Amino acid sequence: MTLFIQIFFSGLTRGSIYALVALGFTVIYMASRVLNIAQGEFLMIGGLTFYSFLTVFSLSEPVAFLVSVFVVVLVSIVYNRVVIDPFVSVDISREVPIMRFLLITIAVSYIFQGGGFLIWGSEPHSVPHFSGDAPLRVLGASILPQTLWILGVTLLVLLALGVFFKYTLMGKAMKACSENRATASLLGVNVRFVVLLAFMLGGTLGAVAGILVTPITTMVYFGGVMLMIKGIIGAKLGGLGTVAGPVLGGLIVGLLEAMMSIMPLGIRGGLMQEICALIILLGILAVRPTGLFGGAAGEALE
Amino acid sequence: MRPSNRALLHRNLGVAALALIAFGAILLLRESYYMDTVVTVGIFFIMLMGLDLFIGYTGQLSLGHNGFFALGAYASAIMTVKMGVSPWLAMPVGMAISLLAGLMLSAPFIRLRGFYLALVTLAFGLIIHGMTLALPDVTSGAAGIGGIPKLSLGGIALNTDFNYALFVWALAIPIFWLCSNMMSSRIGRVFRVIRDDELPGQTLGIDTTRHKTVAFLLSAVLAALSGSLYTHFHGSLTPDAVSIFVMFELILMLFIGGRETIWGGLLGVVLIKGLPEVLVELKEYKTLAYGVVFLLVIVFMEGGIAGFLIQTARKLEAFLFAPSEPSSTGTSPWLATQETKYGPGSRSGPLLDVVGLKKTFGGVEAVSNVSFTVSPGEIKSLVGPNGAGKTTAFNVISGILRPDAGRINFDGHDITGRTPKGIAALGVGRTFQTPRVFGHMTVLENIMVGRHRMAAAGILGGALSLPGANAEENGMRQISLDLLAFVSLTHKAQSRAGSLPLGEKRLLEVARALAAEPKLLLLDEPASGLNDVEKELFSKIILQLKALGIATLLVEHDMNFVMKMSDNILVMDYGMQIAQGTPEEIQSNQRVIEVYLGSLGKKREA
Repeated sequence: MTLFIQIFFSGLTRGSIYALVALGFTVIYMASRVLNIAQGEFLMIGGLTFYSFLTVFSLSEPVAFLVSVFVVVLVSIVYNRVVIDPFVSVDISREVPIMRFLLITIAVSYIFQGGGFLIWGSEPHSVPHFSGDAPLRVLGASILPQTLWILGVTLLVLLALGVFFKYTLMGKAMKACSENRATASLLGVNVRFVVLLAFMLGGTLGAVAGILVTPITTMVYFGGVMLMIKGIIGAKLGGLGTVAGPVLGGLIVGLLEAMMSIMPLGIRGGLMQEICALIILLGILAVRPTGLFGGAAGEALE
Repeated sequence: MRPSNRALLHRNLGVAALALIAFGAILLLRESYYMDTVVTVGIFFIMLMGLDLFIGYTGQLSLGHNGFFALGAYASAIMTVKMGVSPWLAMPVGMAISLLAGLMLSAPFIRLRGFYLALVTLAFGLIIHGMTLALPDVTSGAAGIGGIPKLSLGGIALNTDFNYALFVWALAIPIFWLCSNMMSSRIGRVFRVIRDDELPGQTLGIDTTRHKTVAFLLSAVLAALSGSLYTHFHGSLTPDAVSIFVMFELILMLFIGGRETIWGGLLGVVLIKGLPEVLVELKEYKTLAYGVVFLLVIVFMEGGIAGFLIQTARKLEAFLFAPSEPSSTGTSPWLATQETKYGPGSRSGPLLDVVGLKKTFGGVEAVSNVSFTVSPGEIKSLVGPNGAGKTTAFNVISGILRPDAGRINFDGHDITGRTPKGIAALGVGRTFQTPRVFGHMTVLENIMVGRHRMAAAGILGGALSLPGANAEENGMRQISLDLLAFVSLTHKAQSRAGSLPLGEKRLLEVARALAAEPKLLLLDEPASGLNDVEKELFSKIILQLKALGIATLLVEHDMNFVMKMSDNILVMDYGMQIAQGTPEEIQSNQRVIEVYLGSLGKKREA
């Protein structure tokens, strides 16, 4: 039982971070059909600016948190305006060239990493846990307070997003764009603005995830890449084009990885569990190309 | 000289030039510090040629070929160091393992494309890279394997950079020759079809999935070879050499150098691997600079540096020499050769026999209980308001959709539920309502793709440029040119098909379908969007085909066109067949007038 709780929390923690990445990735994909490989760099920039504001500028944690999110949102705005907007909005009715955008976002990911390297160097940076690193005892299992922060903030963000999509006009406009951008445009939705907003949301989600995870894992200029990969796999596993799917997908990836740690796979750190989790994921994708909770069949072809 | 012979000459000259440059550089730099770079460039050039086949030509994105590179590299390292096996055995074993892994991966996943495939390959690369770390008993983990023996060939040790460079490039140049040849053969054309649009390829009788698998496997094997060469060059191997970051860098090289050229990758490696050696002081800005250059290339130079060079060369050629387009002869030689093959009344009974066809989409009966026949040389039209189920019927007959009930017989075969490829192979050709030409290929190449199913040259014939394959290629080219003349598109032979106006795209689709020698042609709204001159041309073509004994099934809204052309008309409404008969009978049929003809003025079809 203790072991189970330990694993459950560990999986949930990883999964929450993946879910935030997956969600940011999906929000941008839904609005613009852009598969944003640079989503991981939002985490990296978020985590490292948080480190800088905390240690170099000596801001308090809540202030540093907000300012860091703000910085990443600014980055996402520039990103959108400079390399995405000029191409997305040329002809809204036309299909977005998915591969071309995939390559563009890979290039942007490189640029962010290169910038991150120039600013923060090649060494990983660490920040203190939000509420100390003395583990709490829950039913015999030991759990870091940071875990609770991650779970709590993730839950809060998900609730806020749920309200946004369900009750606000902008949220509905964004969902309309994901259904059909041309029609949404004809109905008076400003698609370009919706895409910009999606990038800002993606930036926010990325920054929050990056700041939450940095106390546990530390952050380095290429540190977003692996988190991005896990998040995207989660998004695809859950099913792109829905909001709940990527969140569940991200959580499943995290739980799978954690579960693999109790398998008798030797003591190779977390590596063997990651490999097994990936193999299981490949298996699921082979059987269900649209993802576990995926929508249209055409989704599989993208 | 025949054009394809000239192309062959150009290829051979290109290979010779590259060989000259490569071995010239090796001799010139013999004693220099840069010899190391020359080897590295050769090793990654081999990898990139493979990646170009899959990523460049078939247009798929792999994020995991570092996995195949790793299989080759670690097979060589483990077998030579830990098992004492000869490197000359380890190398092919590594390639075989890579091939096997490629097969296991492609079996469930290769039919999918785009982002999905990118993600699957990504997971594969991560798994392999993860294993190099997670199995330290086998791979020595993060510390890596050292003491990997240098190769030696016939008593000559390849232990100096100079010797090894000669060896690597002696492999790279022939591979370059083989890949270039193959990509100019019919196999290469199908690779490029996959990049543009797979479905019309399948309706021409081509197994695009098999070709995509071939491209994937070839790239996997070349990656393993490259990995093995890398291992023996460095003498040690760590997991960092096979990480996802290596893969990202390779993608950078391919696109900056120029995809779909085979040699473009070389420019990319030289730039990415060579330049930092020269501009050492820029090291800090490396990642940033890669990103910026990559972005600029993707946005402003889609063909990369190689594409830019090719375009410039073409412009220069057009400026220096007047373009020598083959001139159009008034009568088409294609028509003359066909007369003997078919001939009206060469068979009795219907060619196509559709009985009780039914197709539903989630409760909506798009086609319900439709039956009709088409005889050789007959022009049959399917008409009806939008949403009547005409295109659905087409898609079921050509195998794109599976019927829920009913039988379709064609030329003595039951084709119900067969694949588009299988149906096309029996002699059913089709066009699409919105023309689906292979946009980035030339008009002539489009038709040669249509001819694909009538040719036999395989991968080896194409890659080795065997005389038989070349002769066949010449034949395909000639027939395709004749077909171009038949549809009056000779002057556009070398234009990009995607740049044609709608009417010419429709003509091109017909010529492409005819190249596969169909007995039955399905034309989906051929007259829509055409001007009167083009419609006239189209009617003439259809009547000429009729005279050859080719049957035509037509979906069309232009009633004048339908009434003028058709021998027989089937009227559909809401998936139901409401009348069938000659144009005269249909025009006087009360029911038809009610639901369709009478409402034409009210634009029900708009």
